[in-house]
Amino acid sequence: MFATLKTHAAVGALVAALLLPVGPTFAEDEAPAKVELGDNPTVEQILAAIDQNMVFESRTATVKMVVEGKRRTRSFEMVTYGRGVDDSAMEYVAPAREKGTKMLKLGDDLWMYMPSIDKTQKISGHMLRQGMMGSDLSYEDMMASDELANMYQASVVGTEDVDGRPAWKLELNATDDSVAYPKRVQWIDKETYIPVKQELFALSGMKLKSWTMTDIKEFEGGRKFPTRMEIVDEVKADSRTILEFGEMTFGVELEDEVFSQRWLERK
Amino acid sequence: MDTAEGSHEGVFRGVAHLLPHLGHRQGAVGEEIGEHFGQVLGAPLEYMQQRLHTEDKMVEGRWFEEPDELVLGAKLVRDTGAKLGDEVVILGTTQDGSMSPLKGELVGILRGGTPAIDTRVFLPLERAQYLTDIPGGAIRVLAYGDDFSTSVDVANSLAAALPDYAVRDWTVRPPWAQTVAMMGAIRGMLFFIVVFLAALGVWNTMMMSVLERTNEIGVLRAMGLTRIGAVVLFVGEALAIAILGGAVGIVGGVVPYLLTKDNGFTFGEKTASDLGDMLPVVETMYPILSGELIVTAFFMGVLMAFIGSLLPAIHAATIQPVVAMRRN
Repeated sequence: MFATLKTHAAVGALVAALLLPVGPTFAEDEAPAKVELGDNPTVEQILAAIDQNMVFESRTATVKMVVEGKRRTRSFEMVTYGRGVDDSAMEYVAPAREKGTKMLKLGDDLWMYMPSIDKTQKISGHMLRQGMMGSDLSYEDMMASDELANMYQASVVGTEDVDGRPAWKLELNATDDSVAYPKRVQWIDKETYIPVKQELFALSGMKLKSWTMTDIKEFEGGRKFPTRMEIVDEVKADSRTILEFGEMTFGVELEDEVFSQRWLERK
Repeated sequence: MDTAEGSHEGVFRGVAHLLPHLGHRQGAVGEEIGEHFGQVLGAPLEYMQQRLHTEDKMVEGRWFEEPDELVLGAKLVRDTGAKLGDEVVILGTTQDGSMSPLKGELVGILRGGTPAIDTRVFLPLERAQYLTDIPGGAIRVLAYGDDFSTSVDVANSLAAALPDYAVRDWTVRPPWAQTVAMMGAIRGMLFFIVVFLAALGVWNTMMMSVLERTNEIGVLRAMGLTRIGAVVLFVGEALAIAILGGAVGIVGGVVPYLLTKDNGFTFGEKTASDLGDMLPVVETMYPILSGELIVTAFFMGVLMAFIGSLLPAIHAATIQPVVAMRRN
C-alpha cells in the first residue's frame, strides 16, 4: 500500500495547505464532491479524499499567530492570499514592529519586504530553516509545495484514535535526501478526511516537530477546514506556535499584482 | 537586564562604574543575506571611546553621534565596499529569532588588526536594543573597578547581592579566559623548547670538549688533579660560558626590544585577520621585557649550563690517567 505523492500538496506540506493555498483542483466556488471510502482504502484513495477538502484554486484568510517562548509570548496578525500551487502572499498587520512586513512565494522563491529599511530580501539557503518571526514554523515549512510532496513515498500504516475520533495513520518516507524532514507521520480524520496531526522526524528518528490541527469548521459549499494549528518545535525548549484562522474565503478573485514583487513594495 | 542597572553605581563595594553592553549577535551586512557577517555590538559612546581603547584605531571618520549612525570594522568595510556616508543595512535577529533589519549611515571605520574590531558593527545602545528587540535592556552590564586584583572579590560580592544574575569576573569571561589559557600554553611550550635546546647545547658542547681534551685530562689527572677538581674544572668552564653567553643574550634581547618597543612588529592586516581566529595575534605586536624576565632568563641559562655540564664533567672525572694518555 505505497504511493508516491505527486499531486497531493496538502499531505506533503500541511502548513502550505493551511497558510498558503494549494492545488487547482476545483473551479472557483465549486463545492467538493462527497467522497465515500471503503473500510480499507488505499493510500491513493485517502489522498484523493483529502484533496476534496484541502485543495483550492484561491483563498484569502486572516491569521493570528501566537508564539509562546521561554521568556515571552508574542502575537502576530497576518492577511494571506493564495493562488494555485505556486503563488502566495502574506502581509503582517500587527504588531506595530512588524506591520507592513510582506512575504511573497512565487514557485520555489521566497521574498520578504521589510518596511523599516524599505527593502525586499530574498530568503534562501540556511535562512529557510530558521523560524519565521522566531516561531516554530520555518520558512522552509512555508515553502512546502507539491515539489516537496514529490519527495516522499506514503503508506497507510494503521488506524488510531486522535482526540477520540478514528483516523488513518500515514507514514511518509523521503525519497530525496535533501528534505528537511526525512520522515513524516500523519493522522487523517476518517470522517472529514482532514489531516489532524503530524509528526516530523530527522533521519536519526528524533522527533523534530509536532503539529495538531483542530477546530474544524464548515465553509461555503460544505467544505470543512481546520482553523487552528499548533506547532511544537521539539528541539526548542518551552516553545509553541499557535495559528488561528479567522475569516477564510475560498474561490475569490485576486489581482495579479498581489503575486508580484511590485505588491511587496507597495505602500 | 534593564539598563537602569547603571543606577547601582557606587552601591556595590569596589565598583566604580557600570556600563550596559549588548552584543555578540551576528548580523548580515550588505546587500544579500549570507554575503558578509559581523558581530554587532551596541553600547554607550562612553564604552566605545574609553573602554575599547579605540582612540588610535579610528582610521576614517568619527564615532556615532546620532542614533541612526554606525561604525564598521575595517574588514567589513573592505568586504562590502562601503564608504563613509553610505547607508548600511544590518540584518540581525531579535531575542526571539525574528529577522530584524535596520539601516544606518556609516560615519566611522575602525581598524584594530583583530577580528574583534575589524569584523564588528558598532551601534548606539538604543539601536542595538531595537535590533534585538530588547527595549531598554542589555545582555550584560560591565562593572569596572579601580583595581584589577580585586575583581574576583567584587564579582563574588555582586553575585551575592544579585542572585538572579550570572556574575563573572573578567578572568573567566570569554574571550579573556581562552586567551589567557592559550597564552599560558604558548608561553609554556616556548619556555620548554628554549630550556631544552639550551640544555642540549651545553651538554653537547661539554661532551665534545671532554672528548677532545681526553689526553689533557689524563695529563692533569697524572699531575695530581682530583676527580672533584676535574668536575669543578668542567662545570666551572660551562658556568663561565653561560655567564658570558647570558650577558651577550641580554644585550641581544634588550637592543631589539628598545628598537621595537614603540612601534612593535607589524604583521599586516590580512595576516593578523587570518591568524586572529586561531591565535591571539593582532596586526601589530609589541615586545614585553622586564627586569624580572631578564634575571629569570639569565639564571635559567646558568642553571641549564650547570645541569648540562654535570654529566660530561663526571664522565671526565672518571677517566683513568693512563687510559687517557694512551688514547693519543
